[in-house]
Amino acid sequence: MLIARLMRNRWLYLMVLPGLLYFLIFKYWPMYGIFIAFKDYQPYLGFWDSPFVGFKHFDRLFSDPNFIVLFRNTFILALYNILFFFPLPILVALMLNELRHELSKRIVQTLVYIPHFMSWVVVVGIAYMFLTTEGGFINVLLEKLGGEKVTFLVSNEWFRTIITTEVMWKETGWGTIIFLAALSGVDPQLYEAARMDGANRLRQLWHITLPAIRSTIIILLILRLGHFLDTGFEQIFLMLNAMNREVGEVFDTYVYAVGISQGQYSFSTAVGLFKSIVGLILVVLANRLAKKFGEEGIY
Amino acid sequence: MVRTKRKRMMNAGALLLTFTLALTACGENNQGNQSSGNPGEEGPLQLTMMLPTYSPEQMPKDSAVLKQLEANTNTKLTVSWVPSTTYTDKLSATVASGELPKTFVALEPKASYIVNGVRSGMFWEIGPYLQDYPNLSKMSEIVLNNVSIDGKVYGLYRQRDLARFGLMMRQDWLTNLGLQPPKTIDELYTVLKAFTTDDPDQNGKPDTIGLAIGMQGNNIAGFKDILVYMGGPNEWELKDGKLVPAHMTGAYMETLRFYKRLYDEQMINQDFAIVQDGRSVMQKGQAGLWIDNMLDAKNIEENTKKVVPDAKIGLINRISGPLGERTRAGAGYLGMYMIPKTSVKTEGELKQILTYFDQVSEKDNQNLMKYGIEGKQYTLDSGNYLPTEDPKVKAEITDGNQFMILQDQVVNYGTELEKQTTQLFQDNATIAVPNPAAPFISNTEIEKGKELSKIIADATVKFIMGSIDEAGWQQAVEQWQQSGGSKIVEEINAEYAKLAAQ
Repeated sequence: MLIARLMRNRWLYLMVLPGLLYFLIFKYWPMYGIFIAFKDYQPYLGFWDSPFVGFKHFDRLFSDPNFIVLFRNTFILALYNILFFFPLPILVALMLNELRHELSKRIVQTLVYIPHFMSWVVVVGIAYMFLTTEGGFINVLLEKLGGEKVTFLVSNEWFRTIITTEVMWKETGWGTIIFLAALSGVDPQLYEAARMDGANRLRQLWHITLPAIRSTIIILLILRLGHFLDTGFEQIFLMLNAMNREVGEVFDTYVYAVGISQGQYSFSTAVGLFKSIVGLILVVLANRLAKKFGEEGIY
Repeated sequence: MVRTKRKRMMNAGALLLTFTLALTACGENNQGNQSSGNPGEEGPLQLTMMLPTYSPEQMPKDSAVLKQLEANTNTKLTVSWVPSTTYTDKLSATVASGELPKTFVALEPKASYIVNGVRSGMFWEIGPYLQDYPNLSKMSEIVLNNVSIDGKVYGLYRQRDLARFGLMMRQDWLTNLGLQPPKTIDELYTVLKAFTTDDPDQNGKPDTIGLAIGMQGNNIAGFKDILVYMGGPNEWELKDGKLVPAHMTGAYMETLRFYKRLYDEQMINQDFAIVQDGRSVMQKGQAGLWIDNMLDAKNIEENTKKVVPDAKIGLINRISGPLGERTRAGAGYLGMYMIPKTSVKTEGELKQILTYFDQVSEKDNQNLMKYGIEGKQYTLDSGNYLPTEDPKVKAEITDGNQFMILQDQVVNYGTELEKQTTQLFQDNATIAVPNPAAPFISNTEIEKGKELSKIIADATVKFIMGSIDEAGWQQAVEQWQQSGGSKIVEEINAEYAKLAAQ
């Protein structure tokens, strides 16, 4: 039965084979590496001969007083990201969509993409130049206006705001691409019909545009939740200093400090694995929720 | 059509063939190296190594100095240079991959990945071989003991002067203000104050500060030196037969207060917590003092001169505090060369490599790697040392000292400032305070040390910038103890007791 079906569609299966192999070889096979989270990995002993230690590294992680702090910092930054950054590309895409003049639309679109191609080092460098107390633009301005200098870069209070703002500045434009693509797929007849019925632009937006991209928004949100605890390493590492480490140390920077600088490969793998598991659980939950409300979900 | 196709096939075939040949050639080459026991039997020794570079530009691959070294030692050297700032992380990642070059420098011989590697048998123990080599056998027992891991020697330390830290001060500013170089902590404060308020650069603007500081990793550059001037210990203090970490001593608190005063009175750069290299402040001509390895003096003077042509750097090494004149001793070495068993499989090859290191320590090679080739990198005009001005020729000796093992037979050439530096290194050695815990290893420190030291380092910055008070500082110390610090103290003291009992 199965064989018959396989034979009938043999060409289709043959065509899917390279894709399957790609995932098996490059995505699934390397996953055996996560076993070092359950071992005391020593490079010289190698993967198989390193002693098996079970959940030792997870015990250490969860009993570490740092864990609560790390989790809180990562969680809050991730939450800010979803609350403040995630809706922004949708908003910009909607605004671009309303632009009538084709040329100015194209120009704006291209301009907002540019920050995405800058590396974090550059973005953080720009932020430093704006915010430093030693002749930074914003502090000079504040002083001229009769205010006092604000220590943006070396304070707990400003850290999350700056991080989230930097992400917004860098990635908003790039994030609009998918939404614009979804928007271009909306049938123009719908708008025409709505206009005939006397709907103004706001009404059209609410009843036609938003429903049209709703499933795209939900899918992207679910995918984003899969990386919920990935706050990104470079940006935060570059912004960290002694005065903001309390709120700034996140899992990604901790893994670097412990795993690379201190050479505790197994422990840092355990931390990374924990992060991925949280992401997986969130994706499954969000997907279920989406389906419950009659949306498509990602699987 | 058919012809082009066939031609293409042939081309592909030829390419494949060359590829296979190249591969087999590599394979044979490797085997040849592994099995060869006697030096000189089959061409020069192939030696790959990974070294830190402290310069923005690396030594060129075809450097004449490097060629000369290869000729003198009958080797073929392949060096991969890694910037010093990322060297430790890069090395850790390389160790994790297990694919190490035949030798490399471990800048922190007690880093956890090195100690763990040693304990799993990753590196050759070379202690027992040293006596067979005329130069290597002269290595200092004390320093060998300091680099030892569990009582055994796994690497060749690179000898450096014992105490190299001191004050690099703008001599021209002192002259402008009619001040004498400071001799005590109080005088130091007065000079720094004058640098801040009395317009030492005479441009009529209050745009100068006394002391430039920046972060070296998580630590404040120069802090450990002021701590020792203040009568504090070098990392660990021996008190009533017990070792106490520096940050739990009274002198540490005194030093914190001193820095806080400098910060509050705007005598140090206010943004120091985000300054990676404090020398940049100095080199902009904005600051009057930099505290670090006095070897820096020459570079700082040259770079400051680009902005302020009259700038002159003076060196001061003796500052007297509550316990008199003292200075922080380094380890007497800067990193050590290690030889991994993963890439050097036989004892024969190990001995060949040790022979290379022994030859590097010969007098001629020591001076070659320090000054370059006479007639190229420098000339001797009736005994007067004249370094070349040609940047291309100069570049050939870049980081040459990274190759050096022993430095006992280096001739003292150099500019006035360089000669003074060397002289002050010798003077420093007479008043140097060593770290009494240097030879000891604490397993807790290996596991968590860096995370823990961050607690103290961060609290130090916070105290100076005024975001925590003395109670907050005490809290940080308690947090350090609870997170594993008291275990480190225990383990270090246990090691100390073991040694004291012998």
